Amino acid sequence: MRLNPLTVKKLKRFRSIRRGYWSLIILGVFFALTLCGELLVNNKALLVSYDGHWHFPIFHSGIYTGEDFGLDYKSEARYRELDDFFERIGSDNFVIMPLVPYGPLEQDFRAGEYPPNPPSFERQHYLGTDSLARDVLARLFYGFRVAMLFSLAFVAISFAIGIATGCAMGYFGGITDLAGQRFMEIWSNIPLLYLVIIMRSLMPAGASTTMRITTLLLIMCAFSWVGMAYLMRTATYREKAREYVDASRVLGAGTFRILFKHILPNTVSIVVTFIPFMAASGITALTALDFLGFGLPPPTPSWGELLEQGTQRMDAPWIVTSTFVVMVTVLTLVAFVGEAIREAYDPRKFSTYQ
Amino acid sequence: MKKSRLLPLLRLFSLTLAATLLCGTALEAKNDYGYSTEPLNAEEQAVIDAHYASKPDFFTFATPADIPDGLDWQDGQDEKPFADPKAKRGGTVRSFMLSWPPTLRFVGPDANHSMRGVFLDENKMSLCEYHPITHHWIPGLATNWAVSKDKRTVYFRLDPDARYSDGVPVKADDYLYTFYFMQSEHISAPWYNNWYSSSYANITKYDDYTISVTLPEAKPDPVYYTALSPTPSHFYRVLNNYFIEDFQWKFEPTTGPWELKPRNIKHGEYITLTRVKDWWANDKKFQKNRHNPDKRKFTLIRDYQIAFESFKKGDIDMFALTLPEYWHDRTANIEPVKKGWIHRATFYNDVPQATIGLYINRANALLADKYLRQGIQYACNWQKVIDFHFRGDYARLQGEVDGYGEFDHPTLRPRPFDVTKARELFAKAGFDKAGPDGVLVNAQGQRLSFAVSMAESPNTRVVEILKEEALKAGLEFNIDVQDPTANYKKVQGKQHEIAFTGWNVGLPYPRFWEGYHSVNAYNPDGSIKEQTNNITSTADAELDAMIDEYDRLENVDDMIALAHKMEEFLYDEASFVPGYKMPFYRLGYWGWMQFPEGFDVPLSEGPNQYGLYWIDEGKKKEIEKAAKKKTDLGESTESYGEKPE
Repeated sequence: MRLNPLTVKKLKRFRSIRRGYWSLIILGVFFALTLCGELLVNNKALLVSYDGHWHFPIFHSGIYTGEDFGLDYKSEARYRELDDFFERIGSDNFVIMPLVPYGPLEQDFRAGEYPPNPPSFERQHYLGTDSLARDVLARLFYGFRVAMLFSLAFVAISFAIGIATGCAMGYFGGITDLAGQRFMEIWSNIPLLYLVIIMRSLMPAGASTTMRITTLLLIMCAFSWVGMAYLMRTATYREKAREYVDASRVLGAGTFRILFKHILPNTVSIVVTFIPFMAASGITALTALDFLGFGLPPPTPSWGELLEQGTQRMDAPWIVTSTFVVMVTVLTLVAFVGEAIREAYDPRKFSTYQ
Repeated sequence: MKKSRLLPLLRLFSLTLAATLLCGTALEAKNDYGYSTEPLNAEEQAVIDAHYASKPDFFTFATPADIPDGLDWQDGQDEKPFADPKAKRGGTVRSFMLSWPPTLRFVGPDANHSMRGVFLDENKMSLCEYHPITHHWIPGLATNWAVSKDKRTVYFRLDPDARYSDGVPVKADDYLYTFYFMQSEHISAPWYNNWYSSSYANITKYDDYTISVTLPEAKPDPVYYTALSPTPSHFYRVLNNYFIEDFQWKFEPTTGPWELKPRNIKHGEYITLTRVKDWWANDKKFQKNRHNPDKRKFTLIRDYQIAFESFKKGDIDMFALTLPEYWHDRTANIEPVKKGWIHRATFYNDVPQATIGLYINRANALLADKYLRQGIQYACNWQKVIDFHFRGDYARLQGEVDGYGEFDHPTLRPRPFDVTKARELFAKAGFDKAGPDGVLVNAQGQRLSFAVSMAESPNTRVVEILKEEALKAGLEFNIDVQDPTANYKKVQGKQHEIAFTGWNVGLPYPRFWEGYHSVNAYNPDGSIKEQTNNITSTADAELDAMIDEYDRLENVDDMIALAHKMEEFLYDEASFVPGYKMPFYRLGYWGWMQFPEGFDVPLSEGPNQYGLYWIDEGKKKEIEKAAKKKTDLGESTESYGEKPE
C-alpha cells in the first residue's frame, strides 16, 4: 500500500517526537502483554507433566480437575498446591507456573493472617494482596486490560456516533443542523451518573457480567459523542465550502462520495488528535464510576475498586500506592502520545517541539 | 434619587408588624418550650371525643367499679435493680452523628432516620419494661398491672408521679389519645395507622390513673403488646393537615430522662440532649443510677474516618469498635490504647439475632428443587467468611431462630461447608456434569448459576468469598449489587433468585408467620405476593397449619415444642442459608467513662440502651494530664459477659 506523502510526512514527524513515540511503544507493548496475559499472570499452570503426559491447562478448552492429577477433588486443580505436592512426594511430575502464579479473582487466604498482606517475593505477591487476599499485581494487570479494551470500545463507538452526526449536521446544514444542535443541547444536560444508577437499579438479577459491562459502555458512549459531533460539524462546514468539494460536485460525485472520499479524509486530523485524550477520559471515567461503586460488577478486576479499597485501607499503603503509580503512569503515557499526535498533525510547520 | 413618599408609611407599617409579632410571641410562648402546656380546651376535647365516639367498641369509658375482681396484680418489685449504685451523676457525653436528622417528628415522612432511636425511642417510656437480665416485667409508667384470665386484656395502674419533661402529669387520657393520634391520617404514617387499628381491640379508661388494653386475640404474654407509650395531648392537641410541617422541628416532650430544648439545637452543627430537671423517675427502683450524665452532645461529623480521628484525640468519649478492622487494626496498636487512656471492651450480650444469610427464592423454577437448595447450603463456606473476613470474631448463625433461649433448637446445627455432600445433592437434582468452566450443568444444558442480589455495602466481600468457594462445589454465584433502595424493591417484588440480606427480629418470641406462611408468598389467584417478609416464597400447607396453631397457642411450653418442630421443617426445606451473627458489641472509651462491674446487661445492644455508665470527672482530669504528659497507665482491653460456644 502506498501512503499519501502527507501522511508519511506526519508519521515521520510523529516518530521524531521521541517522548510521544516511545510512550506509544511502551503502551503498545504493555497492552499486547495484557492481551496474552493468561501466560504471564495466572493461577493456571503453563505446563503440567503428569505420568509422562504433558498438559497445557491454559490452552485446554475445559478444566482439569484435581482428580485428573491424582488428587481427591472434582473442582479445578489448584496448580500451586499441585506443584508443592509433586515436590513433596518426590515424583518425576512437575508443574511450570506463570511468572505471577495468581489469578485476579483468586483469594489467597492463609491461616492466622488477615489480609491485606504486604508485598512478599517469597510468596510471589509482588505488590501484596488486597482486603480479600487477592493479588494486587494480578488485579492491576487484568484491570489494565479491562480498562484499555473498555476505553477503546468507548472511543470507537462514541467517535462513530459523533462523526456521523457531526458530518451530517455540517454537510446538510439548515434544518438538520438546527434540530441536531437543539437535540445535543438537551441531550448533554442529562446527568450521566444518574442514568448509570438508574440502569443499575433496573438490571434484572440474572443479567450476566458481559451484559452489565456492555450496558455501562453503551450508556457512557451515549453521552460522550456530543463533543465530537460539535467539532465535526464545524470541520465539515469549513471543508464543504472549499473549492475541491465544489469541483467534485461539478464532476458529478454523490453525497456519499463527497463525504467519505473528500471531507472525511480532510478532517481526519481532528479525529486522530482526539483519540488519545478520549481514551484517557474513558479510563478515568470508568475508574471514577468503579470508585463510586457504579462501575463494573464485582468481582471484575478494576482500578477504581482497588483505589477505593486503598483509600479505605490507608494502613495497607501498597494497594493505593501501586494503583496510583500505575494509573498515573498509563495516563501520562497516553497524554504524551496525544501531545505528539497533535504536534504531528499541526499544519503550522515551523512550530518547534520541545 | 427622589425620596419616595411611601417610605415613612412603609416604616410605620413594618414597625407595627414587628410590634404585633412581638406581642404575639409574648402571648403564645407560655413557657420555655414555645408551646402551651394547658390541657385541651372544651372545643378541642370535643373533636377528640367525637373520634372516640365514632369507635365505641374501641374506646370505652368506665368506672373503677367495672374493674373485675380477682385480678392478679403484679408490681415487679421482687426483681433486683440492675444499675450500679456507685454511679455518679453529671458531666457531658460527647458523641457524633453522621447526618443531620431530616426531622424531629417520630412519625410521618423521613421520621425513620438513624438518630431517631437516640432522640426518641430510647426516650419514650412505656407502661411496663422488660428486665434485661431475668426477662420479667418491671414497672415503667405503670406501678401495677394485671393480665385477665383469657390473656387478652391487661389492666394498668398508672404511676401518679409520672410527668412529661415539661412537667405536665401523664394521665389515662394520654393513652387513649395515643390511639387518636396513631389512627389519624394526618400523621401520614400508614404502618402506624394500621398497627394501632388492627393490633388492638379496645382501650378502657376507668379513672385518671387506671386503664386496660385489650388485644384482638389472646397472646401468651399480652403485656408485651399492651405496654403502650402515652402521647402528650397538650403538645399535639387536635391534629390537622399541617401536622407534617408544624411538627417538623418540634421535639415531643418525653417521659424518659432526656429532653431536647430548642436552644440546644445548632442547625448543621450539633444537637444536645439535656437531663430532665428533677426527672420524675430519678428515685424509682429500676431507674435509679441510670442515665447518669447531665448532657449528651451529638456533633455532626459527616465522615466516619474523621469521627474516629476525633475519638482518638479525645473529642468523642465512646466509639463503637464492632467492625473487626477497627478493633484489630485501627485501635490495637495506637498510643492512647497502648498507654491505657482509651480502654477497650467486648461485651457478649444475649439478644435475638438478626437472621442474616442467603434467602433462596423458591418461585424460581430451578430453586424449587429441595435437593438443590440443600446442596447450596453445603456449598456456602460461611466459616471461611467468619474466620477471615470477620477474623473469627463473629459466629455462625444457628438457623431461622437464634438467641431466643429455649426457642432455639437444642440439637439442630447449620450445614457446614462440604463439597462432596453438595455435589451429591446437586447430582440428585440433575446437575451431575461439569461444564467447561467447572460449573455443573444438567441434561438440559442449564448451568448451576444463580444471582445473589444484595445492597451496596462493605458486605460485598462476604459474597465474593462465598462465590470463590462455591465454585469448588460446581456452583456459580453472580453478584448483583444495587443501591439499597433498588435492592429492597427487587427483593420485596420477589424478583431475586437468591438474596443476601437479614431481618431484624424482636422479642419476646420468634415469629414464623411473616417469613414462612403461604399467605405471604402468593395471592389467592396464584400470583406472587409482593411487599412481604416471605422472600423465600415458602408456601406449604403443613407448615401453614403449624404456624396458625403456633399463633393461637397461649402456653409457652407448647409454643417452644411447636417452634422446634417448625425449625426442623424449615431446616429440611433449606430455603434459608444461615449466615453469621454478632454475639457482642465492642466499644472503645476514654478512661473516665465508668461502667458497672459486669459492664452491661445481657439484653443490651449498646451502652446507651440501658444507660448504666457514668462519667468520673476526677479521673477525666487525671487522664487528660496523662495524655498530655504521655504517661503510661497500662493497657486495658477487657471482655465481659458470656462468650457463646
